[in-house]
Amino acid sequence: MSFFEEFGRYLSSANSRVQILGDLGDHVYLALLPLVIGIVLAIAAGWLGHRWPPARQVLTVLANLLYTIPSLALFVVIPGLIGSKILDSVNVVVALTIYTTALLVRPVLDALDAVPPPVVAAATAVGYKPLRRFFAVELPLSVPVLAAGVRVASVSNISLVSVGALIGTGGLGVLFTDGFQREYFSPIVVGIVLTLLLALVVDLILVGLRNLLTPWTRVAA
Amino acid sequence: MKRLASLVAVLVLAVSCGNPLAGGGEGGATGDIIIGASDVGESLLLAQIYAGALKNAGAANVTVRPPVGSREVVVKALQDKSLSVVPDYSGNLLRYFDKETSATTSQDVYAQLRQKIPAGFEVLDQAPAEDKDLLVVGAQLAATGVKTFSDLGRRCGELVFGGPGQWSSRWKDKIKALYGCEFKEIRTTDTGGPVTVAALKSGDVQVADLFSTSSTIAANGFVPLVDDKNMFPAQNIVPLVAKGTLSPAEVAALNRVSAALTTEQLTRLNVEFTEEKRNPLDIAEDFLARNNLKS
Amino acid sequence: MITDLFRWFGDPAHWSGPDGIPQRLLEHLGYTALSLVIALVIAVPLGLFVGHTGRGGVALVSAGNAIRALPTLGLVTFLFLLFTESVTSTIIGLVVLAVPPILAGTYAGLQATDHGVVDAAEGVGMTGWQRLWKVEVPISLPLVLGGIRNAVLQLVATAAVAAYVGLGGLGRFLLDGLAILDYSEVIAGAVLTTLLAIVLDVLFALVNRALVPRGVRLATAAATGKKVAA
Repeated sequence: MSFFEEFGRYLSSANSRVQILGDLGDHVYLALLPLVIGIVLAIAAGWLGHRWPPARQVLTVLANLLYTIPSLALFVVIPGLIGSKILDSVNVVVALTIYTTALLVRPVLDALDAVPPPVVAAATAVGYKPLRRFFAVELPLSVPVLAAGVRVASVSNISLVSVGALIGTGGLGVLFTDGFQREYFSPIVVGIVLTLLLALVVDLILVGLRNLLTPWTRVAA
Repeated sequence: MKRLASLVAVLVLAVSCGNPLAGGGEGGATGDIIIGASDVGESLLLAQIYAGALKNAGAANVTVRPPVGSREVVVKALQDKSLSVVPDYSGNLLRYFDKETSATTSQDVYAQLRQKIPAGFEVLDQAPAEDKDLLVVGAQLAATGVKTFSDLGRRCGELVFGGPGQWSSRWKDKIKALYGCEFKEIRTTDTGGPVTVAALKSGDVQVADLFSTSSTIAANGFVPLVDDKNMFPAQNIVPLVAKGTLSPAEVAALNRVSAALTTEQLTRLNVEFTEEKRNPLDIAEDFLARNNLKS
Repeated sequence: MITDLFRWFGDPAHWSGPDGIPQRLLEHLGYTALSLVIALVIAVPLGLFVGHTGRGGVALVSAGNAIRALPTLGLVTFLFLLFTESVTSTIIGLVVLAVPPILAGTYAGLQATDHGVVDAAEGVGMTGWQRLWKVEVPISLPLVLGGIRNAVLQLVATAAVAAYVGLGGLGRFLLDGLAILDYSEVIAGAVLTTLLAIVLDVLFALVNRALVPRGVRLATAAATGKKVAA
């Protein structure tokens, strides 16, 4: 039968549709939780590196190293390192958190560097203590640069979650292994399309969030 | 800054309050039945059939995990209770626990299996259905007079073999001892899947390990060889269970499934799965209905 | 686990034959190198053209981002079903994934060239070609090389995944070991793949050092306020 007939048949089964939606839900969770945790960790690491130059060197080298580790290699090593069960989805979450953090440390540092010294001085003069100043002034000003990094990280995460199917995790990757095993195009196409759509939607949301958090950039010049 | 803080709080809450995969990672809680499948295609089908039967028997929390690797992974998962039940094959399962066994018939294999199975595991009733390993060759090679494993034994030195990664450690010595067969090269393709089929079709390998209920043998015109000295033992479908995870009613339900599963039915299920590309849940539901296993 | 790992590496059987480390390493490097060359041939001229003339930049960046979102496993399995041949489909998949970073780097590099400098070059009498090769390319080299570096890392990681559709390379250790839970083999595969990525990354840092003119490196450093070795 033609591809389109086969495709229609694939989607006509209610069970298929339910499974696809379930896989999509798993995928969203597995991609976005590491993103959120990674952002928090990267901000913490960035703050550390920004305040203490020696820490900055270490963090930059470490981040570079971690990001270089190939995805599949990191996925398989994690159970041994953190003692999780081999089929546990936490392996993917931890691995992707590491990637996200490693990717975002640099943008955080660059963004904090880019905060104009006069602004920092003014904040201190007005009475902000360093920590409060960080959250009230430096971090919000870093949002545009940070957002760019987060957008890259989100696309990367969404794409990498499917590799987790090779270690038995859920997500849209299951559609690829199923399609491959049965020489069946339809699940693979559905998986690719949904992954791309998911990446697009998340990207749009992130852009919206960035604009929400930086109202001053939209004030007419 | 307040905006940022509240946003972060909302995000963290939204993402952490519902882990859709929470049930999948651990199987410790009583009542959670997690069915796994090995990387053989029909294993997932059987897992769905077991799941359907258990749900019909009243089990509340039944999930089916996506397929994972081979027996080694599955056994480990059963040990740490990441999985509760897995459909397995009697002959290879016995050899996994007792490499030196000489049992080859269905009855012998099953009897030995019940004896040799380690504490912490149990096997339920076996099904009449069998899915055995087959050594297959392309039609051209078969035409030159290679019809049995013994015929193959004489030609092995010039042939390349393709099969699952663990085939070498399981069978290399046995095939040499029984048939004097030492392949020119043993290549890892996959477990009776598309890579093996493609390799055999293109001639990259001349002999491949496929499975008897698989529809790809007939579909591609491959020729299975006759195992004249019974190297491959009987392989009845049998549920491998982590002890203590199933109630008697649930065990009875799986036994009813096994009783109804014949080789013809299993072959038919494989055709529906691989050739007709039906959804495994649909196939399972139909199978259960057809055999009056719906409560 | 560490002792098992050392034992695995110490076993001479793992260093010879079609399943041995050298063979797998060469295969992996081969796929990476071949895909990189093809991707460079496609992406660099395209990036130079779009960056130099400024036409089609937005479309290019969008297309690049879209391709970057393609799931590796999905692409590789899709192509295998299309070509039923591991190597062809994998190389195509690898090239598709390597082109966006190189394109992005080349384009960004040219975009980042200060218009004043380009104008000055035109003012001095340089033709379009001369401007491109004598001014714009050297200035954009850091970003271009950065893009190629990203592509290489992507290739090494993806080639490992391609073992799933029957390809050779270091991914074989990862997947074959995983199938039978031979953790030594799995970790060995992970270590080897990571080492390869790191070695290539260091090589790139050296290439960067060698190729990028000192003046450009100093200018970049001055702009970002970081110290750099002269």
